Amino acid sequence: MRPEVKNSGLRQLVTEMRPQLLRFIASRGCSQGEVEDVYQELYLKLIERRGGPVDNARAYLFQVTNNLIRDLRRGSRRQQGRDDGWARSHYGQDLTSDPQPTPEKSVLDRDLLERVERSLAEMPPRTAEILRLYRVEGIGQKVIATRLGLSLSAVEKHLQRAYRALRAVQATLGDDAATPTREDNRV
Amino acid sequence: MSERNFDELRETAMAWHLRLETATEEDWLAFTDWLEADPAHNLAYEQVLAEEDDMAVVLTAARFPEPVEEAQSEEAATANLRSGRWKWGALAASIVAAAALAFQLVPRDSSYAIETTAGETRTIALEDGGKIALNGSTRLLLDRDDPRAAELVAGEALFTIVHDASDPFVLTVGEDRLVDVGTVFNVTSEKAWLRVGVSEGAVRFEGGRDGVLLKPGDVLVVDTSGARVTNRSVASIGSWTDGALVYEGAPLAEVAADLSRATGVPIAVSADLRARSFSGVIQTTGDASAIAARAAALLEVSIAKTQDGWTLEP
Repeated sequence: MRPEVKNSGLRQLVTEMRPQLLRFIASRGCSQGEVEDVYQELYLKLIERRGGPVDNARAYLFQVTNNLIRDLRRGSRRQQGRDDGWARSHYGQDLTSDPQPTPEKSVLDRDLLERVERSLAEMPPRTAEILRLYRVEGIGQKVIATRLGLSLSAVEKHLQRAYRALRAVQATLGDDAATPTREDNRV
Repeated sequence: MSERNFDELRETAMAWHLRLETATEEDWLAFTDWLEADPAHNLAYEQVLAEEDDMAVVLTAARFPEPVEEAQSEEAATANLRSGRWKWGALAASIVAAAALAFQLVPRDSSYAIETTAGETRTIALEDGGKIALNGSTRLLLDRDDPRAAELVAGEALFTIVHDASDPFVLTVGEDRLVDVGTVFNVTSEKAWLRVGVSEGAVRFEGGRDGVLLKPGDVLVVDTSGARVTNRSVASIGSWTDGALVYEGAPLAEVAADLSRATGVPIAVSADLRARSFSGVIQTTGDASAIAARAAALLEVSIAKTQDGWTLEP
């Protein structure tokens, strides 16, 4: 059994782990200022946190930190999209990046859906099933492993295979999806 | 950075991303080390995250294929195979109990099929010097990525395998596996039964839960009534490749199935003849009607033409 840590303990731990956490935040490509902001936000989040004790508290803190950074990046991607939308309406169609839904975008999405479904059908059935449990049902890898009687690493391998196949689908999309790996459709 | 390197980086980043869901503190510290090693690592990781987000909506909307029912997990099945205790009853039961090894039936992306039509035979050379002779009406799956694995979906084939103890050739037939131990062996897979004959070396038969080692001259027959090993002359095993069907006390249903493959005509056995067996040699050279006439004389039966093919009658 791992030791369980209550909220007060988590706040103490976040102070104790400050050096590792700051190092991690910086390694995630955050600027000096962002590093402090993310760490502050982590601290606030733990004060607001409701819920029972956490097991494996040290790993949990890394996880929460990583999620904060991910949300930050999502926010700036959305902001980027809004800025481009505004800029295009003022300056024309020259901007290449366009994450905003437009009529062309929804046509592309239907095409993407078809390609994804084709890719799912081509996956080994168990791989597709594990992907569904993980991404659609939101079930964790450990629970999937227990439920299917597999090792954690077997579940991980199935997911890797599924992600690789989805990556190949994304790589075959139209020219406007400018990724650095256009020829990456071998899987 | 070259595109190839970026692909590799992204592959590593994706593996990290999936690992992190269940990561320990040590994993997180190792992940930090990896990120610090090169700023491109974080970029690749960010891209994996962004792509996951991009896929979220479409995955929720997508129709997934029906999940397969599997009675047992892959690993449990493998563990059972290794336990290796051999009991006839258990073997028969495990063959009926489906899907213990269903995992292995799933065609991998790199698999491809080789098929023969009724009456057609074909020999394929394996890269390592071995060969596989396919009898008529046979479907065999091979794997480009794994030259030491094959699956016999239906029909009959004679395997001449170059033995490598460190990398044994594994043939999957339904839920069963045949593992070569230095070998020439013949496998016949019909809907109702499976027959394995060994003419050189040895083959380990692995039913769902147990295994048996087959030596030269051993012929294993597995059907709904169970599994049994009989003995035949080594020369008779796989003799169809020389245009001869050799039998020693074989039920007529088995002879009829072999003749069907050789002639391309579906051949049934009338109920009155089901209990009869045959010993002897039937040459399968010549056209279908020549083979039929020869077989009828040897089997001491008459052949009636029906809508669906032929029926052996008293």
